[in-house]
Amino acid sequence: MNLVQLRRKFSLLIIAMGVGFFAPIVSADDAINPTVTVGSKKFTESVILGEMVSLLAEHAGGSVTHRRELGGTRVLWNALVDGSIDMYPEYTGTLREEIFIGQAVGNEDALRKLLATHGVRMSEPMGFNNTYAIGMNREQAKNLGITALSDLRDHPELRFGFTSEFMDRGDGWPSLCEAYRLPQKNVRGMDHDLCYRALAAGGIDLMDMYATDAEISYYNLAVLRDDLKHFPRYEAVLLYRDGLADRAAAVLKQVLLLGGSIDERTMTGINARVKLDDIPESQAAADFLREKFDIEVKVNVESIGARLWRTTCEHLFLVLVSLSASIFVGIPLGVIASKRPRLGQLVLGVVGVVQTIPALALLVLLMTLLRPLSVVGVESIGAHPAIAALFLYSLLPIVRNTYTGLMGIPLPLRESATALGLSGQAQLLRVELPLALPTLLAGVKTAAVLNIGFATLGALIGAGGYGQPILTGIRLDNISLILQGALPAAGLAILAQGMFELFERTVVSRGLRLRHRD
Amino acid sequence: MAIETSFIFELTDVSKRYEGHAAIDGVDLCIGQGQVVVLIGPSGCGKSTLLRLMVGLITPDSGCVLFEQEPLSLENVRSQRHRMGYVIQDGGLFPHLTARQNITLLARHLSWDDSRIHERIETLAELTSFPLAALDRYPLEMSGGQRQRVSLMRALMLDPDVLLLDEPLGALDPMIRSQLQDDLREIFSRLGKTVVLVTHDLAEAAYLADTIVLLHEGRIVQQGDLPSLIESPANDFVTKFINAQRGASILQGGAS
Repeated sequence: MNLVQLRRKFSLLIIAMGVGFFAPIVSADDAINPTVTVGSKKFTESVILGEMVSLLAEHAGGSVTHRRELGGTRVLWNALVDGSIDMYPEYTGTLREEIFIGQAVGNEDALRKLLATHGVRMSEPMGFNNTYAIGMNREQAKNLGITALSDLRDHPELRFGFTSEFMDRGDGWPSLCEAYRLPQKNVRGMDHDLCYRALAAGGIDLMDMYATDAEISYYNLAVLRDDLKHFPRYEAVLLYRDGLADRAAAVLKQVLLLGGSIDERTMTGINARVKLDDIPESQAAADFLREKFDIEVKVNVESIGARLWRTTCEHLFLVLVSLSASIFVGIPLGVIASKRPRLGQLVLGVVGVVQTIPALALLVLLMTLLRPLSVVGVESIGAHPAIAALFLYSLLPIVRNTYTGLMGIPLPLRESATALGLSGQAQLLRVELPLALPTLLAGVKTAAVLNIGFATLGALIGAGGYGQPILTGIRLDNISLILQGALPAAGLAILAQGMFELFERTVVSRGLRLRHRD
Repeated sequence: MAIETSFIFELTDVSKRYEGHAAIDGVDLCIGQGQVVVLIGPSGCGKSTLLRLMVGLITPDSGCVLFEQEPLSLENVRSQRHRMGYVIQDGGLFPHLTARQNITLLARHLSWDDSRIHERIETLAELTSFPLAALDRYPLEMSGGQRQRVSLMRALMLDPDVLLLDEPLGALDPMIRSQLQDDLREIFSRLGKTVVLVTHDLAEAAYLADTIVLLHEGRIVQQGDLPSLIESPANDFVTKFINAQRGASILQGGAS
């Protein structure tokens, strides 16, 4: 998302929040420069393929947004089905084993038919099979005499580290375990990139990997032979929405060039350039397009400053919108809670429970909940669900502190206000809220700091922000990139804290600050 | 005592229970125009509860509280409170407001104009001997005595018909307390308003009151002036209460 779009979205959102809810955003010049939103998963190969698609689409005149590094197959599939994205790279094995798990899908034609019932079409396979594989340290494998998966039966002490997707999917650990009758019990789920590091550090012995992973040769790993032919084929394909052929025929035609054009060796090579040689994905993708199709595309590699500026804008956007919403909703909720004790317990209970939902689960849950709202322009990935989740997360400290602040007002003061003959509203506005203000502001401050930290997770669902470089940094094992997200996020949190303290000094009555000094 | 004029307060068979325990148990009490009535009794006798019933902070379980011939009710209690001034121990001043803001809070809420407010403050400061320069201090920047004077000014701002004071001097040290007792007596006599004051100090009661109302376990035991309480006590409790207080008064110079 570039800055102009971001600003436009920002002002639109503010306006929309005022009048109703998010208004549908329709671009007028869709016919000439069709807008195309490309998605990619949060592993390097998918991001590279997403870049290839984006560059080709742009070359054909499309106005392209690439939502990179979205967190998981379901996220992308749902986004594709509800139209939040137009296309993304996928693997046939993933479709069979994850999306259509439990439905025995036959050959490729059957798969295409099934996809069509969801309004989705599939490109020709790109030419490489990135199937799952199980790998371990070459030396350790040699020492233990392990070459094939069935050899693992004799080594129950070995520890597995799997991506959480692999833990659950149809061809994943449960069925692998069953097919090979594997005895290992020490199995844990973790991030794919962290698996490699854990394996190198000796924290685990075996992990799931993809056939085209660059790390296999980098870490000198042995890929165990699938001697029972358990893993299905994972042909790389592009999935795209039905309507794209009508809406952006030229763009689609260009993008479909990728069919049959990348073999396994090529893909592994490109992966290695990005992961091991630190070439930006877009550059690697562009180099491939030049070599393969003689297509010259302009690659804008973002400077550190530009990226910092962009991620700052995105992050502030998420935080400011969600935090303002929780202030506007949270304070009245806190007031109601303090006035109606029964309702209050209910309100505090509900916002408390929301707080206990794990961050990622809340994000994914909201993506699902927001899907029906796509008809009014609410997107199920990106900023909208992230803002909704941040809003809910920020509610508790604000509601609770408003409530606590109001309940903490000594009874004699409350009664003095009542006995004066002030109306209920005047008591609240002139006496109770000003007295509760220090506690209330502390709650808003806590919410702001939590919100800034939590907003980094928004990157997992394509909302950008400081989480984006962190995510990419983890993926590419690039500490500098991680710090480019982590440091500004920490800085922003400290800044917010400082600003709130300054603000507190200006709005809280000096008479109350005297008490704090006592 | 037969009073022909109308009563400011008229309580008939008023009871209030808290968790099964009767805080006020069938009290009848009439308070006449311009009287200074002191409610007194040991801790837990219900004297503060009685005052809170009068200002409508709590409602009786049974019986009736009339203020200026009208029962206190949800609909009119706010306007009735504008005709009462209520002061509690420690003053109950709002700490986020200066003395001036505390005093004028209600008047501003009722949209009085500035000159009227200003005039009224000057009158009240003079009445309570409060230095004008200290009006912009916050409660925590004032002494206990000053806080009580501000609280009194706040209660008097709308020129109410009655002043209700709940242990107004309870938290003050003896010197300031004695000074304020003198000032209060002068203020009461200058204003000529009806005053209902709660205290547990008999010397203070005797010094300020036209009528002392002695309470015990939620009931009125006896009412009258101090000599009548001493000379013709209604029962043993009255004598015991007076004797206990006399000892304390002699030892502590009238301020318990």
